[in-house]
Amino acid sequence: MSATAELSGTSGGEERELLRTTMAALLARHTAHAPEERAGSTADLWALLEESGMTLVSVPESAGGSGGELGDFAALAQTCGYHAASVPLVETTMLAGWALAAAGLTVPVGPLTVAPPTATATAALVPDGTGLRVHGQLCAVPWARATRHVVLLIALPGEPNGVVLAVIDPHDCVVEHGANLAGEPRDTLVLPAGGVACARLPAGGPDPFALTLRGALGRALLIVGSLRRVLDLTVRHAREREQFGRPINRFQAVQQQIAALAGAVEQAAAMAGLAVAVLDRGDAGSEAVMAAKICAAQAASVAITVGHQVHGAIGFTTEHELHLHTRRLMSWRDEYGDESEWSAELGARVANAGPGGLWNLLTTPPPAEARR
Amino acid sequence: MTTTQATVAEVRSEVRRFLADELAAGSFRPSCDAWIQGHSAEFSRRLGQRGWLGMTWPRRYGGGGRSALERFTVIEELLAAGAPVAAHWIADRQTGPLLLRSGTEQQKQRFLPLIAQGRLFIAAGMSEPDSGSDLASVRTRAVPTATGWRVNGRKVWTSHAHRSHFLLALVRTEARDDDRHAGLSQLLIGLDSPGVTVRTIGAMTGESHFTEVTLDDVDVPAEQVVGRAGDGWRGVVSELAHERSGPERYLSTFPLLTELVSGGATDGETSLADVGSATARLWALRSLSLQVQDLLERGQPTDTAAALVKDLGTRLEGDIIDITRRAAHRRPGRTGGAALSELLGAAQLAAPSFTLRGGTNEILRGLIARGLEA
Ligand SMILES: Cc1cc2nc3c(=O)[nH]c(=O)nc-3n(C[C@H](O)[C@H](O)[C@H](O)COP(=O)(O)OP(=O)(O)OC[C@H]3O[C@@H](n4cnc5c(N)ncnc54)[C@H](O)[C@@H]3O)c2cc1C
Repeated sequence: MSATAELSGTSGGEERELLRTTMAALLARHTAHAPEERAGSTADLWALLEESGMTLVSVPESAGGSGGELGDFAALAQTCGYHAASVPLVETTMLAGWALAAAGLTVPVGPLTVAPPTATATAALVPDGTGLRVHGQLCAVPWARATRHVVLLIALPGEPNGVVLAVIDPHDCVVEHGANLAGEPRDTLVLPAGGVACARLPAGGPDPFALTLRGALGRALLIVGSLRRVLDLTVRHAREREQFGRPINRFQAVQQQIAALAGAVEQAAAMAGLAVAVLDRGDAGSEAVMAAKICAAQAASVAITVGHQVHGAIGFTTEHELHLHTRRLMSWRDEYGDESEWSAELGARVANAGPGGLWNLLTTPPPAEARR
Repeated sequence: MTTTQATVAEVRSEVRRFLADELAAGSFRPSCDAWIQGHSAEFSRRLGQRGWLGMTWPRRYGGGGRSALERFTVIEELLAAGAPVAAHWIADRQTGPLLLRSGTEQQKQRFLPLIAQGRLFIAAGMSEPDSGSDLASVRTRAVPTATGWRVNGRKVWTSHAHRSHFLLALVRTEARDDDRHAGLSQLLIGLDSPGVTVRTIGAMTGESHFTEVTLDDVDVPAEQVVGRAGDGWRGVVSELAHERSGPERYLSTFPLLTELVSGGATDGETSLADVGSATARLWALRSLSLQVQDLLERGQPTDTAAALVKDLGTRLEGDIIDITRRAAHRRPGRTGGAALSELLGAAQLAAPSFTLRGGTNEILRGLIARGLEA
């Protein structure tokens, strides 16, 4: 499947591989039959995934999930990216499912989403008797119109570690449709006039920053999957397209670009894999996640440039598959923090880590241990 | 160059006044890549009325008899403002000059005045499904008839053929021999001729300026061959020099940079440094581009220099997008967002085409390297 097969099949055991191939088969069959789903409607594909038990992998069984590690889910997320599948899988499992489970709640069935912490800037917490209610609106909530519940986490102002959680039914809100460059729903939810009740979470529960990090990693995983598809498409096109009487992959200028693309893809995949392993081991892993999102976004930019350059004009049309990936890569590289925001944050942490801090960061734990 | 600074300044302020009025009247919204995507026959006609098309052509052909520098001033003002100039772009930029150089007297009288009025639009029919970078391999064929030529074949990626009156098609009129560049000709084909089918192709930007033109036993009168039959390659090469060196090759995303620097999203040392470096490159490119215009004006060879401007310029156009992303941290939007988000979204979607159209950067760099050897 991949032009860089030597490097790709590294992580996970047989079970994970089975999960990956099952998912790939489902998506390949579905997207061939219903190409319009990739433009934004999700219901059929979601039903198929739910039936096959693919939607709550890595969410603990105690919370109603199917169990397994984040690494298992990562394989599924990358497969979704590879097939440009239009489903809120990352939102449901890795974000909403995780947040609810970490708060000790049961995860309801059906597609879910979260309000990214940046989306809550236009909402306000208002005291209500002994509790709190959230008022206002939530901007650019991924997939809101296609989900049953929106999970919201907000830090309590002036209370370190204080967090409230609300579960919002989009049907109670006015949903203003919006979209990212790929046409994926990024809707604005106008909350009901009386606001929505929030519950204060016990200490040690999920918090907005952890959610942002998981969002960033989720986008990195989707990006890595999409990158692999762009690489495959590009390698194939360069082999098949002839100009000046030979395949264009025989021109050095083209070879150089494909090599650069392959390098960027492997770099992004390695860092995403490492970040997933760190989280699976139970470490906070903030820095590894930042590095994963940085590498993924950088590789996305390389893939957009090289993929299109090698495909020539055909790749610029909607009749070719490439644009489905390009437009997703353009969107995902910016969501949950773009590479320059995370680079600034990571740089600041490294600069503040004192002598030996940088090397310690890179070597704890050794990558082999991280993978067990 | 004889044009005085005063004349240029006068032209410039005249165009700025015009653009300010048009903006105030809501006739267009500044957009990136407007010289391909911004198609408005109405706007082109208004430019024609002002004498801003065919500006350098002789007055006897409806031109303005103005200098190349005055024309440059007009088009750079239009591009910087993101005005919709796509309708007349190819006719004014390349077909008109080609006709002036190698057209017959009858062709000049027939076509040039209408182009200068913004009433005649021409599409560039070079590429084919199997001939992109390797243009000399075109397979569309024209065979002689009693009155002219009969054409069969297929052109693709033809910008705006569905909104143009003629197609300037590169076709093979003699079988290929050892010299791949011999036996090609350029024909002006009426797009309403029997046997012509135009299909639009969706571009990933969401609009559809691309078309596929199928030519099925299309009869073209002998008087619509441009230049000598069999000598078409020379025409293509001269057209490409005009196509590659103009300010559209570094200003496609300029409206985005304008919005960035005027919107206050540039605080922070890094983004100021980015903006400074883009400014320096733009400045240098404008100067290079002016030098090429001057060479073109004087009939000097410009293939290498024009390729250089296009390679440098199209990369800067892409870098401006990255600079904006880094400075503004604004999610690119499609519609309904802030002006900067919308411009950023549209510019990103268009960007992959910058280094393809008019010859890919790889091909151009080959040309530059060979040009340096010559
Ligand atoms: C927005 C847009 C508008 C366009 N408008 C028009 C138009 O109006 N009229 C028209 O005729 N055409 C038009 N084109 C077509 C354009 O000229 C071609 O896309 C371009 O020449 C490349 O051809 P191709 O797409 O077939 O790519 P290919 O020629 O297949 O090239 C694919 C890749 O291989 C590389 N490559 C090929 N040969 C070599 C080599 N020898 N050495 C190194 N690398 C090589 C190329 O650089 C490129 O990266 C337009 C294209 C775009 C994107």
